Formats: sequence, C-alpha cells, structure tokens
Amino acid sequence: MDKKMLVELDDIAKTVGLVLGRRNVAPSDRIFEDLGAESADMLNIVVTVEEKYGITIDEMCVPSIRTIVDLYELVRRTAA
Amino acid sequence: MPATAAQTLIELLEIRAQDTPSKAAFVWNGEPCRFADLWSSVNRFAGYLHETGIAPGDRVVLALPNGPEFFFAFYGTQRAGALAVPLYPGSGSARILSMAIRCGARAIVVPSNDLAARRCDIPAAGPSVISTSESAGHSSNLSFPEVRPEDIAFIQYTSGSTGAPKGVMLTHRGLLINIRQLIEGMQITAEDRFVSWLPVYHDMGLILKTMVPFYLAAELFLLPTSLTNVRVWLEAIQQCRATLTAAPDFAYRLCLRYVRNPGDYDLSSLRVVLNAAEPVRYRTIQDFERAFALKNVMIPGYGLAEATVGVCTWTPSTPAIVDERGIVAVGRPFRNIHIEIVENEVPVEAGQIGEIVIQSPANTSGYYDSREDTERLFWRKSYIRTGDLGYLDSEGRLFVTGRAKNIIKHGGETIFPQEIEEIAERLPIVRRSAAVGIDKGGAEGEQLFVFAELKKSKPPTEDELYAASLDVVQAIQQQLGTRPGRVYFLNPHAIPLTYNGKIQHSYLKELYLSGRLHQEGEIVFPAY
Repeated sequence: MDKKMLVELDDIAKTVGLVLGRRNVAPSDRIFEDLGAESADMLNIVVTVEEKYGITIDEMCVPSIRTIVDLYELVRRTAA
Repeated sequence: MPATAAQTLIELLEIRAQDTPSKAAFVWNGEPCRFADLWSSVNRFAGYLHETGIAPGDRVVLALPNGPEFFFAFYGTQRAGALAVPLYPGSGSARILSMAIRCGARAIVVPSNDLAARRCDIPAAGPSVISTSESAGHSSNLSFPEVRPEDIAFIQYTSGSTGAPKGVMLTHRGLLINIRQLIEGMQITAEDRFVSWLPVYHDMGLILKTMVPFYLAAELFLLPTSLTNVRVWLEAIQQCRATLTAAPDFAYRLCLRYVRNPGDYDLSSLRVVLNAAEPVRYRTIQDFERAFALKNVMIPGYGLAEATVGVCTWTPSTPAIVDERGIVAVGRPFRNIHIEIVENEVPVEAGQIGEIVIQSPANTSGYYDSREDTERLFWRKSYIRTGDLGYLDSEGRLFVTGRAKNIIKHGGETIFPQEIEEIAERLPIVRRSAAVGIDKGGAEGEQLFVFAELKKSKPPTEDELYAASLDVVQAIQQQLGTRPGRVYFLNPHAIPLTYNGKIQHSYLKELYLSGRLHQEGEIVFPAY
C-alpha cells in the first residue's frame, strides 16, 4: 500500500492532540505557542509519528516544525 | 560576620544584607534584586504572615514559579518561624489544596497575578490563599522568633512509593552543610556566575542553583522553567558569560537535537556543567562537549532529596570515566559523606552491585508525618536507603547502575508507578493499569508509558478510547506537571502479574520493547 495515501492531516492533528492531551487541535495551530508544547514534547511528537507511519524523520528538519500543517507536510514528504 | 559562620538560612540572608547589601542576589528578567531589598521583602512578608496569625511551626504552602515572589515567600515563611512547603505551581487548585491539607498548611501562597483566580477555586473554609503583593506596607521591624539550626526550613515533597507523596524534612543545619559540601566538591567560588532555569521549588534548582550563589554572593541569572526554547538557556549562558549551569541529562539532549548550529553559541565561559537528577549518559557528555567545543566541563553528579540534595559529583576539569558497560562514574562522595553498597542488608565488596545507602550529616531525619516511611528509609540507623543500585570501584568512585524499585525518571523528576496507575484506574473502562519507564535509546530519553487493561464488558469505540487517552494525559499533566510518552489500552489480562497478583513492571517493559505486545495483538489502542 502506498504510505503517502495514509497520511491524513486530521490524523496528524489527532495524534499531536493525544501526545499533548489537547482536544480539537486545528491544522493551523502552532505546536509550541498555541498548544503549549515544550521541547521535550516535540521529541515525543516526532517519535510518535515516526512509529505511527513507520518512518524516520530527519533530525535537521525538526527545528523548522511550527504548526500541525508543517508537521503533516514533513511526514508526507518523508513517507513519500 | 562572614557567611561561613551562618547557622541558618535566615542568618545567611541577614549577613548578606549587611555585608553585600547592593550586590544582586539574583537577576530576573534583566532586573537585579539586591540582597538589601530581598531582606526587606522577606521581613515584610514575615510580618504579614505574623499579622495573619501564622505561628512558628505552622506550614505554609508555596505554589510559586521561578521569580522574586518565590524567594520573598520562601524565606519570609522561615523568618516567621514557619515551615515552607514548595509545590509544583502548575498543579491545579484541587491538587494544591489536597497537598496543603495533607501537611496541615495554614496558608497557600500563590502568584500575585493569579490570586483572584486561585481564591475562587479554593474554599474559604480551608487554608487562606495569599500572595506576596499583600505584604506591601507591612512592618518589617517586628521581632521574629529565633530560628535555630535544628529547625526545619522546608519540606521537600517527593513521590511516595505507595502513591502518597512523602515530605522530606530539611533543617537549616543540614542545608548549610550540604551547601558547603557542594561548594567544596564542585570547587565553586564567589567568582562563579550561575545561569539556571531549573525550578526553584525543587531541590537541585533551589539549593545548588540559588542557595549556593546566595551563600557566596556569586552572580545568579535566573530564568523561567519553561524549556520551550532551549536557545534561551544557551543565549543566557553566552550573554552572562556563565561559568556554572546544571540540568538533567534530557535538557542537554534537547540542546543537541534542537540547536542546528551549535557553533553560533560561545559557551567557552563555562567551567562546570552539572549533569544530574537523571541517569547520565556518557554519549550526552561526549556529544554536548563536541558540539559546543567544550572540554571536561560536563560533570555527572548524584544526589537525592533525603540527603538534602548533593551526594557526589565528578571532579571539575577532569575527564569523565566510564566502565565497560558504559556507565559513567559520578565521583567520590562529598566531605563527611559515607557510601555503602548493600545486598540483603549486608555491605558488599568493591565492584559488586547492590543498593546505594548513604550516611551524611545532611541526611534528613525523615518524612513529615509519616513514621512508617521514615522507618523504612533507614539502614543501620544512620544510613538512608536510596532505592538506587550501583557499585563503588576500588578507588571509591560511585557508579549508578539502575534502580532497586520500579521508579521512573522522567524529565528530572522521580515518578512512582503507583501514582500514575491510580490516575489511570479512575477511568471506568479500565480494570488495571501499569506505568513503566520506557527508554528506546533516542534523544527523548526515558518516557513514562501507561498501559491500561480494558474491562471485559462491551469494548469501547475508537472515539471513546481516544477521549479516554486524552483524559489520562490531562490528569497526569495536572497532577505531576509532566506528560506521558504514550497511553496504551490493552486487552483484559494483558498486563503480566506475579503468582500473588503483583504487576511485573519489568516484564511488561520487556514485552513492549521486544514487540511482543504488538505481535500478540494485545494492544487495542492506539494502533502504533
């Protein structure tokens, strides 16, 4: 199955919500400012989506993740 | 009178206010707080407490984050002869109130800008909710009760092995002894410049990073505890030309992961970078020093609240050493501290692993209001049991290898599985749960994982499980200020038990890490 097809923005939002204990996470939400994540949470978010989609995210890309959409696009690119 | 003659923390502050009145005790948000001003704020708050009827021996809970208000309230409480009880300020009002009731506190000090909200949350019949802003205009010239070296200065709450938090009683004498042990062991001088974001309501941040610089009148640049941006910490080190900073291993790993160009930072002023409060990874020391072009500045350390805070650190400016298993030596004990390694209650030879027990003049006399826990704490009357496993090499250097109990170290905090399991088991769909520390070897370090078995009845829907997971994450965050790495819902009976019905935490960890829990289809939610 094509992995790319499996990455849904809504799924990413829900996954991040689960890590941070936040309901109703919107795609435009900023992970640090709006959702209250700390750096340690970001590591956990990365590990979680890596495991969920069976991918390995390039560490150098992590600091550029700001919003849920950024993360979604990074996961999609990586899974492609 | 020199600071070296101080017998209590209150005497120390008074000496500082007389000898170095215009030196900054600390700099917060770019604003220096001079020792003279700190001393008058402390006295004003003590006067205010006195007028509100707080008597010597009363407990006063402090739910205050890093910032000047913490110090006014912490020392003001002691000045009034009362016992300060600092708590994690991010806890919900219900948690703070329950802790206040547990220690019989008469008052809860909250941030001035949070006073109205907290007052609405906490019933008027309970402890009074106050703030340092209310002490403005109070007389600071009252005569306060004499504070003696053997008096308890504050109670440091740590997680309890039975789920109930335990309050470690720390005396002025013990604190001053440990301050002097830290200064000697880490070769700290008045010329050192401290940068710290560690929480002031917790031992390492409070004692090493604020009491030690107060004692020496060394410069202290205090930052908020949030690590949302590790760059704030590194920039502060660079700007202040800091010589000394401290953090648990995970914070250094965060720097390595998030700082794209370490070469942009000049951290060459650093003399001592303490890595403690969590298992120290040799790799972190190597990678951090390499990335930031440092040499022999990161030193591992070991300690616990029951010994006030510090027990040993590696000698500054000397290269760290590791054993063949990759475990880093945390050094020789500080002056007048004696370490034994015991197995089945009997000391073992050098090189053999056992439980680390510690004899120190800075040891606590026990837990506040918990005789049973206090009795269990001591080995041969004068040694405290640490619950950690380790060995001493033939040269008396300590290596910490693991933990005797199923405790979880996450983000510098010690978490007992029971307190997490209690939270998860409040969900009506959960029949039993187990909390374990999972370390997959990545930069995220040991994470708290919660495994919750579902009840046999009708299986919940995916949406219900999602909502239940959120509830667990929120409840843990509320109560402990930390988030779990993952919450799994499992089939009934998936958690392994001993023959007498106890949870096998380490076996569960093995089942998860080996992938068997997934392979055997025991995980109901989430699918990854």
